[in-house]
Amino acid sequence: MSHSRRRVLRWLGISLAMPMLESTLGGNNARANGAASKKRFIGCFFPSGVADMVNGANGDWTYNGALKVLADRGLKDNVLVTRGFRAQHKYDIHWDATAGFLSCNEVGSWQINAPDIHAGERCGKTFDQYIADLEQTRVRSLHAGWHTVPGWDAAHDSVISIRYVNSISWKDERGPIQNTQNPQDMFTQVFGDGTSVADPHIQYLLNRRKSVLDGVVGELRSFRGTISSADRPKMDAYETGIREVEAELTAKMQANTCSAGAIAAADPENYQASLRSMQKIVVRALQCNISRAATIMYHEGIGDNSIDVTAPQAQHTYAHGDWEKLKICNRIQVGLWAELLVDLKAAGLLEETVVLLGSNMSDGKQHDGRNVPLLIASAGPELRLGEEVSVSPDASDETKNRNMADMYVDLFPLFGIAKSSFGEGEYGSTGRPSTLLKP
Amino acid sequence: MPPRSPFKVAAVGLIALLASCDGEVFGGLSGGSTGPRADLIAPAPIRPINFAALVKPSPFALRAMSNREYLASVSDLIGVELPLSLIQPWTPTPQYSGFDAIGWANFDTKLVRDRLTTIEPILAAALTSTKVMTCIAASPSQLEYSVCAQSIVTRLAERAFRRPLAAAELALLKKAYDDGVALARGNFSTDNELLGEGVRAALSTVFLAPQFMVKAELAPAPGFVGDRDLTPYELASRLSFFLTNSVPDDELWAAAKDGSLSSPDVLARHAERLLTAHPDRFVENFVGQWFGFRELATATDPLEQAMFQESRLTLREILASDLPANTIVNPRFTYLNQRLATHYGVPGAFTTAFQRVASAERGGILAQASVLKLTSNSTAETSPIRRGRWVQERLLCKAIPLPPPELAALISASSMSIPATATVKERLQMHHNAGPACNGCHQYMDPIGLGLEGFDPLGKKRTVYPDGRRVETDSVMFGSPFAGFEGLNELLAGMPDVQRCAGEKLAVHALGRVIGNTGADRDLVSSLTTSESGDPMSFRQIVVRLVRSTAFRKISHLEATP
Repeated sequence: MSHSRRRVLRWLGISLAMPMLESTLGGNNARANGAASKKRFIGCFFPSGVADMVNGANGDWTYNGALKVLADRGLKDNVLVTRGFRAQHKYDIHWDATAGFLSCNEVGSWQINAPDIHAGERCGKTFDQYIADLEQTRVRSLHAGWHTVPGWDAAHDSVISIRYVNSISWKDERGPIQNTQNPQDMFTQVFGDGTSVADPHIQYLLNRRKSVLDGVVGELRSFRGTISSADRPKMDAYETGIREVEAELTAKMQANTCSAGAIAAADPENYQASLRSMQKIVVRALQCNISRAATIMYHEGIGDNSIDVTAPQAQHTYAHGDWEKLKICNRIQVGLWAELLVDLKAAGLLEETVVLLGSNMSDGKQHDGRNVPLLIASAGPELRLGEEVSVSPDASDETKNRNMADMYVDLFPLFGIAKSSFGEGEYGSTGRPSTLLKP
Repeated sequence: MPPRSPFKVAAVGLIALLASCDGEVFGGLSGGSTGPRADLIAPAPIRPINFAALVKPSPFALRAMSNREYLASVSDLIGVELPLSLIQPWTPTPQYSGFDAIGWANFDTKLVRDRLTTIEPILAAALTSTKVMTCIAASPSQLEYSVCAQSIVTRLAERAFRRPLAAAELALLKKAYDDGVALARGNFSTDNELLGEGVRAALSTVFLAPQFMVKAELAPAPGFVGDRDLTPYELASRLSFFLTNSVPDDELWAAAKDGSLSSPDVLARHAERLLTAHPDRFVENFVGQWFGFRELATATDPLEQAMFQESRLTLREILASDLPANTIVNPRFTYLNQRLATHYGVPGAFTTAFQRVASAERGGILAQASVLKLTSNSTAETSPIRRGRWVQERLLCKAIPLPPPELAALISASSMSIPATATVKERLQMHHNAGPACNGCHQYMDPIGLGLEGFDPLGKKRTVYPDGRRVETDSVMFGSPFAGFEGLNELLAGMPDVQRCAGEKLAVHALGRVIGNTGADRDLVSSLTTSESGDPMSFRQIVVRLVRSTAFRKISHLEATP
């Protein structure tokens, strides 16, 4: 046997943060009948808002400002600029509106958090994860990010889960999904590390693992019969975990036919190169149907990592005080997003993909949620692409702004998902149409 | 509405615990909030001790083993000390006030997944352990399950499940073995390799089975409702996880098997035996979680490692010498090596080995570098608020609620309004100026934190801040003015709350649940920490009382919801 045990084990163990299949559990999001025009989704996020969007104004968020790169790259007809959505937040906007971006869920509130952290972490299943549910793909979903924030340093926030700012994707209300920060890791996740599944020894190891899981399910069933009905849901979570791993093993036993081509993993410390490289891997993964859903977090918005030599301090610092530097950050990030759209277009994927770009706040200095920057990109006849759509009669009045959840509810049917509500409470959908779809 | 996670349900209990700062929790602490309170430093009233009448059994709950319990249990079962680095990829075990695995939060689909990431190295260690592999297969006939493998597998499985195995479980283990051998044929040539693959398959199911990973004291029959005595096996399991963080050892297993453990006297004897035999396990896992220094156990930095050792050795002596539990505030001795002595500026000849040093200044839990470091914002910045809160929660067992969401804007505005030139004391004064909304709680944190400002983020003494300003440590706590750390520490050492808190934390750790401050829980803590003589009790004495109590020896099965 020529395989080192370590390599095989690593291979067996890769991508272990993959979430559960809600569709196997029933639930209220059974697929609708009829042809779906959209198949894939990428949710992109940048933090700390935009320059000069004070009191719900449009500020720098126009085709003369931060969005100019989209016009320059001929993407205007593929982009819908929304006006009048709010970044809903009951608590501190930095983390509450980050966790709420794709979930439209309230995070675990301050009062129900235990005095020490992880115990109280709670959000909700995010939009990308519903798209990932549509099909059991080789890699359930991909999540690119820059650095993470290691922990809070302020007395109050120190008891709030730091994962609220480090993730925008949650597999369920208790499961934030960590971003991949090293392009090499995402490369391996998508294209493999060269191990051949045709190798009989690898086949044996995979079968051995599957056989063990069957044995555990047997023990589990025996145990389950001895516990009260109130505790059985806990055991269901246990079994779901086993089933997820089994499904992933099955997927891994199929040979990977997607080639990386010219795509290479870039230096993770080089901001633009790293994110650009991961974006290209995401596009290729979508093209090969290795994944259906992805998220890209262009920055987390709290940490002090500089994204460019021309803006040497933290993006958050510039949001508070330096419009010119914040504009540099915004232009770099919208520029990366434009590249993603160009790549999707070139791969023939834009029509079947919906791509979002949004933030956790609108005006950087005010740190407020009124008229939050939010773009939708795709191709095809369903969405009002090429337009600026105001969903609120008064962008400056937060009470009149709309919840993003209404947008997600209108997007679900495009994917063939019958789901008439999204999010919860004050963050959730209202039942009113978002007006983003063509009549 | 989708079904809520167990977290949400249990959180209701927690809210009750976290009363607001002007509510009942602090009624006893703050009184009228002006003027010194004589009863704060008076000894706790002596109450009659009647365990049966005072204390109720805990309700049944399923709990997954914490990451550390799993690692220690597997290590003990296979007789191989597995490294802590193995559990690094796992989801961190949720904690409550420092303690692992309070039942509600640690159950989800990641559990099996996490354990699967490390099952291969664990099995590799098991299959090469002489404690596990007690026989071999030298011929095809010896591959028969009953010849060799059965003894290996069932011995380990019953110790892992911590009880005799059911017939169905025995059959499943045999099947796992047979399937493993069948699958391996063609991939392995020798009979002993095939045996190994079969044993591997059976042990995998043991190490991943809920019977092992989940701590459950199940109802004796379907639909059983009411209180019952724990079985000797359940008592053995509770006791060993409480005191050694792992599955029962051989002696405890034997006492469970012959039933003698049902006697409170025998149970108490085993508790004392385990404390004597494994003091480090108790100190690291109980005190180390209580005060947080366990997380420095794996530190590679020599200073951080020395901080951990100081805490461990000091607490170990307090335990071994049977000193009163509240000695932790000011034991008047500590343990130092060269690195830590230099750090503290203690003169004298030291080596890399730790030696006991009499000291009125160091050794107390609030003068240990480990705690001072862990309660700082970073290695560059202390936080008086954080330290003050920590003292209330960890040393005095007083829960301080988080600011309500409505205050988010006020907090933000107040923080912004502080001039950059303000001193630490002036910054803290802001809480007072902001009125009862802030001061209601901060009055219980800020003065304590100020008294600890004479220690820098790494626990060194300081009289000036890096910017040259003088450190101010005099303040007023509960109406009593104190002079610097010594004054604060003296005040804390006299508070009966420290002794009560030791009892409460032991109960949290032993019972795996939140201990409230009302009703039966309050009475439990009183009964654990009130001696006939009125003298403060030692950890050992409290542990013995606890394991003899109804709360420890009984369980309550509440009505099952249909």
